[in-house]
Amino acid sequence: MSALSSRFLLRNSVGIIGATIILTAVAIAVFAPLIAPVTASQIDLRARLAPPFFVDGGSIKHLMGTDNLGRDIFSRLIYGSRISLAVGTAAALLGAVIGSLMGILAGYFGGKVDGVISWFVDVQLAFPFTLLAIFLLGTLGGGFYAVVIVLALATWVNYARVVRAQVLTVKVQDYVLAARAVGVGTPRTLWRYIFANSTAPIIVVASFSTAQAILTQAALSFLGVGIDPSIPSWGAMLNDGRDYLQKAWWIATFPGLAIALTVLGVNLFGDWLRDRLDPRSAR
Amino acid sequence: MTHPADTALPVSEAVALKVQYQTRQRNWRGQLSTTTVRAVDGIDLAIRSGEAVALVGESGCGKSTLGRALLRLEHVSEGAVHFAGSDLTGLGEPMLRPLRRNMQMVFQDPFSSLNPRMRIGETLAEPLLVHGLASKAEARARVAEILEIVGLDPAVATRHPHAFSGGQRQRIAIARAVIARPKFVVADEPISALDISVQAQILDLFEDLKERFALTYLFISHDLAVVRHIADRVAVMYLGRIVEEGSPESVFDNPLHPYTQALLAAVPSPDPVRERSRPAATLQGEPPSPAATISGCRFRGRCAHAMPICETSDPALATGGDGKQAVACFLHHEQSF
Repeated sequence: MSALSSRFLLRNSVGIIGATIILTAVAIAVFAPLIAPVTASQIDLRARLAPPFFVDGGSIKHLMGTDNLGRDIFSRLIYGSRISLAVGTAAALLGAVIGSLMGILAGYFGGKVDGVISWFVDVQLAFPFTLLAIFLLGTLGGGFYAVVIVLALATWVNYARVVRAQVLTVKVQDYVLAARAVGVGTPRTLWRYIFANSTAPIIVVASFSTAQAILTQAALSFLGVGIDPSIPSWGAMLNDGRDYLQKAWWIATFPGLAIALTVLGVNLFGDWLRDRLDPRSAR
Repeated sequence: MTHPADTALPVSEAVALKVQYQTRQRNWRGQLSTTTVRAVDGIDLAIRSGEAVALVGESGCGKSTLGRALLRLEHVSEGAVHFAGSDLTGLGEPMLRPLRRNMQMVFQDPFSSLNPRMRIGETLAEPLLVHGLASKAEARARVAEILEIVGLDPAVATRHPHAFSGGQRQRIAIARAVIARPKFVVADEPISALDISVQAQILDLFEDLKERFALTYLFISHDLAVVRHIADRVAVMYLGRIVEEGSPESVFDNPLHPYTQALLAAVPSPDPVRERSRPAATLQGEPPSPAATISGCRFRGRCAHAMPICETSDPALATGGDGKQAVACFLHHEQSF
């Protein structure tokens, strides 16, 4: 390996590890039918609560054991990545778009605009989210898109508050006044000056919002609103395993590990991306 | 100051200009009180085409506010701001925007006046593109040209501001201010954040640009030696008001206002013999807060020559001395009245 590429690997190791985890998870989701030994919903009541292969009584047939209905955990984990990743990413992105826009408008224009947006943020934070989600999903009906929208409603306030605070510090910088002195219009000022200098916290919030969305989606499935709980998702599996933690720890542990690992990957990648996007950091 | 010979319209003009900020505070009983800070408190200043006017004064006297108000980057509380014959006073930002190509600004701190997320080329092309003065290809050529004029390699256009030193950044900021060939530039202490060794180069650049583009500019500074070097006319500001105005020779060699005299006495001399005989600080105390209400002359509290009249009436800026400079002091008004 040449000196240049090994230095590149060393310098970007955090980003490479994060990207590897994310890409692996995405590949698993895309090629689920090719990887999984059985389908996610295949029930085998005779093999109920079978332990993973490395525990006494386990077999190679069920690598990670089975759940209370005898479904293969390994296969469910692979199929479950589809819903979890899709919901997590879509909700975090939609929340980021809405929240950043609101945060920029509130921070930059201040006054009444800020008053109205901040009021919405406060109401949202004061209102129990689960109640809101049940109400919305109950009236809208469940399904993937409804869940994504409801989860975006849960996460946009995180972005809005952080971005608003960042914009308040950016907008008083001399370069923003310089843009006005040059004659730059408001939309361009908001995009090239205000937004461009407020991206660092957005990326940080996005990496934990993705995790939050994956977990909240699980909670919603557990409550019976949102995505059909028979469709496997990591969060739903986590909830299924809760009642069996004493008898069959593997039901909850493996999806828990999958969530933790994915969130770690997203966070590592987010950290690296934030540094990478900052022109001040060394190339 | 009145110049009977001058008939040409000033490029930039402040007429009885006041810029005030209201701050509202609640005291411990919850009562609301309003404090008015008079940053600029009644200034008449006309800057004519081709002129370099220097504005000097202590920190906090309102120099920067006046400079920004002339470009309508500040609100106008009272009075008026004119630019090239048109009244800017009541205009909103959308109306001002097309006019901004003709009036530009250089900021004090080059580390905060350039957008860290934009390449130098983008920053410099912006005035041209925003005002539709050039196509993208033409703008690229103009950027290369202006970079060369301000003494930088045209290849730097692809880099971000973080790659440059303070002096280089200030050259870039100056290039941005002049690339659209404005009629008027306000330079707000453009060298005070720079190393001494770099200051002279930036001053030379200003001199060079003034000749090359026939620039008219307001140069805000607290460094009198610098001002003497570049200014055609000097205005001394104290607490929101111009207290003395005239040519650098008359103001520096024959200061009339006690404040100007004190400022000049505070300049250290490079000659050790003269420096030793320089009187110790002649000015006592701090300037009053611009939020305070002062009756009479605003300088009288620190003035060695305060007279009874200074307590009751506020001296206006009027021609005094040899008639070549204007001063706001009763000591000199007696002579000319």
